[in-house]
Amino acid sequence: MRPEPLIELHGLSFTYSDGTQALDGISFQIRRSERVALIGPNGAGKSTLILHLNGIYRNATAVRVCEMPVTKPNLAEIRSLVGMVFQNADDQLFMPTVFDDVAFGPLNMGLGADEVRRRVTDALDAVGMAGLENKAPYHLSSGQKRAVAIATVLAMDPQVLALDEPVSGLDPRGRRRLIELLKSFEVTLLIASHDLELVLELCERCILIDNGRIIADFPARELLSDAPLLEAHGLEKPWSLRRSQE
Amino acid sequence: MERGTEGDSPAHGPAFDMHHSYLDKFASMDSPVHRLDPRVKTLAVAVFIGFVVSVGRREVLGLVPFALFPGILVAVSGVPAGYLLRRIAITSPLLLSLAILPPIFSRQPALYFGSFAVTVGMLNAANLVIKFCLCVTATLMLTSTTPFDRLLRGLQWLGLPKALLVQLSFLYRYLFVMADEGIHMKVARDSRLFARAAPGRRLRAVGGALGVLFLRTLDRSERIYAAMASRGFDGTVRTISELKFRAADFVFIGATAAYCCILRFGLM
Repeated sequence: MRPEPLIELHGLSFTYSDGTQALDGISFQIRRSERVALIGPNGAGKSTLILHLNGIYRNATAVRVCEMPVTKPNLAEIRSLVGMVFQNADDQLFMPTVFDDVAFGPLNMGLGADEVRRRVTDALDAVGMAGLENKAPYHLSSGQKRAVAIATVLAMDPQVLALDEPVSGLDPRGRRRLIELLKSFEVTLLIASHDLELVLELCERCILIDNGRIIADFPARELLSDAPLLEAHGLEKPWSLRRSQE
Repeated sequence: MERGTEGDSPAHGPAFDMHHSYLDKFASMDSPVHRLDPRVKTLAVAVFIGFVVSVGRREVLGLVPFALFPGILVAVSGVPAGYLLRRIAITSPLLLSLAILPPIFSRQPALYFGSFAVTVGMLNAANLVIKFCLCVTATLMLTSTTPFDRLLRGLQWLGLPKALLVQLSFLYRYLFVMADEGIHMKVARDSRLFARAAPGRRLRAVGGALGVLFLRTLDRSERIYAAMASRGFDGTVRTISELKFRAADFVFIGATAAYCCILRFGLM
């Protein structure tokens, strides 16, 4: 039996208030412990789509998370189920210290002080950032910020981790560390990225969107080998796949 | 030792050397003053300022013993006096513009040194300068020996409104992010705008840049709110309070209150 779907989209459309249609009839499911990449050119609608998954943009009919429609009464639970890691870690780390930041989510979930402390320690351990508890986020390096941003979400013990451009702006070492970190997680992953080598390494399934529509939804290796399709949508076949076939 | 320099690799290059150390450079040092509970320290400084301000406007010599309190704090904490003096100097233009007025407007003599008449205005001015220095030093000692998050908790305990606390917390967090952004924009502008440009043109460029900075800030605030909402923000910012009073805290607040009372009601 296939694992149950954690995220279900049925014909999700979205138009911004200025009339720009960002999403146009998107449908797919993500099942437990899948690792899915969301790729597409700038402005394809990747970020807008991700913001629907935890109700920053609410659509109660087209989006279901763990079999719940995204409605206001469900928001608190959905937000603890879908951990959202934003592109700019400075936006995600808004508290005066790392500890307060990682504790922010668990405290909003109404957990007790001891449980919150345990979760903060575990989450920082999981991303290899133990010992930074009393640091101010401003003093962290870009890679550290990214790892702590992930910890702030892990501390809520989510079922799905949704990451928007997780490695943009990182140097190769920081990028490598983050990839290894994400590999070590058992949690269901949805990653929006232009870094197709990362996609190839982390995800078994890949969804290509452009102009708010799904263009292709295939196993990652298959989709990323299709050079004409990728080029038609502003992307490029990953170098590692080119060499192996030449 | 300093908060600003202990990071293994700061996220920005040497060209953009705005640091938080500018705000709480000495807050992560260790001394008996640093170890005091932030609530007690905030309360003590508030009490001290209250007493200093309540002293009569013509009193000058009576104010001098009040210097003992900030003096002891400075000596025990190890915060360099030069740093404090520079900070006082930064605020002094405001002080001087206020202190210059009384000697001009209140010229009736109050007392004589030989044939030199000291006017009421001069006493008022001296009184103002001393009070100002005492209060600013005490406040600086509070802020420079207390990490900002602990300071906020102290203020919260003393009943500062939550909305204001959240504002302060975000100001502290994003002031330098915004300053960095501003510096990046300035560098970008300077790379294209040359000294030959007419003043009107330069001014327009500054205006445009400020507008862009404002829009960027607005965008950022929306992204931050989305990040907060994603982690269950419901209007209340929660933290775990790990503050505990120790015996030294009670001794400190008791001694401060007694000292202020003696100076205010005993000596005068």
